[in-house]
Amino acid sequence: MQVKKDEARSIFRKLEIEHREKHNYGWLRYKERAILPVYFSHGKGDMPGKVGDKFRQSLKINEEQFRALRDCPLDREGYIKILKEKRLI
Amino acid sequence: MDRDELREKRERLLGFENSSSTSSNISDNISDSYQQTKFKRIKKFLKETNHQPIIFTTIIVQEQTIEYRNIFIDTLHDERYILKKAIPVGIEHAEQVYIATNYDLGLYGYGDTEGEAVDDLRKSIIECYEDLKEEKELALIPSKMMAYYKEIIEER
Repeated sequence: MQVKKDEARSIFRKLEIEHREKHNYGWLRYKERAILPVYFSHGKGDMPGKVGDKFRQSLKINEEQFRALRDCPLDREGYIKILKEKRLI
Repeated sequence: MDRDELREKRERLLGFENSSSTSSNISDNISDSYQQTKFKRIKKFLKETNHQPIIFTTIIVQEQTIEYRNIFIDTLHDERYILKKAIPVGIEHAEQVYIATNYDLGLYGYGDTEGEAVDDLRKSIIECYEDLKEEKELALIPSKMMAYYKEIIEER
């Protein structure tokens, strides 16, 4: 699954993932607690197939959910609900 | 000859009769005898179909493999931290990219070479550790990560 850098950036914005400049990872926060580390591409262009899969896996969602997240129907609230169902929050 | 006929002919000649096979199980099931006769079949097929190169490209994609192996690293290449024990790293190589993953922490790094990928992973490991140290209260995944960090990392 190829993920463009802009798509990853847009997912970070949508999920309000905190990401510091030049850091590999950003943190998904919920109620001020760090919940998940999520990898961010660091200046090497788009994420090639396998790296895109790793990015999805770091979000703890399946391909269908990832597509929904990327193509907009899934918002932060819906994503948090998925994590709660998985008892990760 | 239209595209469907060409596809059907290609599958018959190359032994992919079961059209429901996925690329991964085709790769898994490639036998030695298939390997030996592969190029003969391709050659025959190209001859019969007037050497249409687009089909050959498809075959290469279907047979693309992912190399995987495990290594251990015993340093983070950072003077502030010592690894108390060597940690396992899975190295994957596919589509000209190396990915280094530590499954205990769920962290990875990638690069054009194995060395770059492992260094990227080292950077991720250090960054996450430093971020977690600043957290007052840890959620489920970060607390598991921190427990593992305590097993492997010592500060100088």
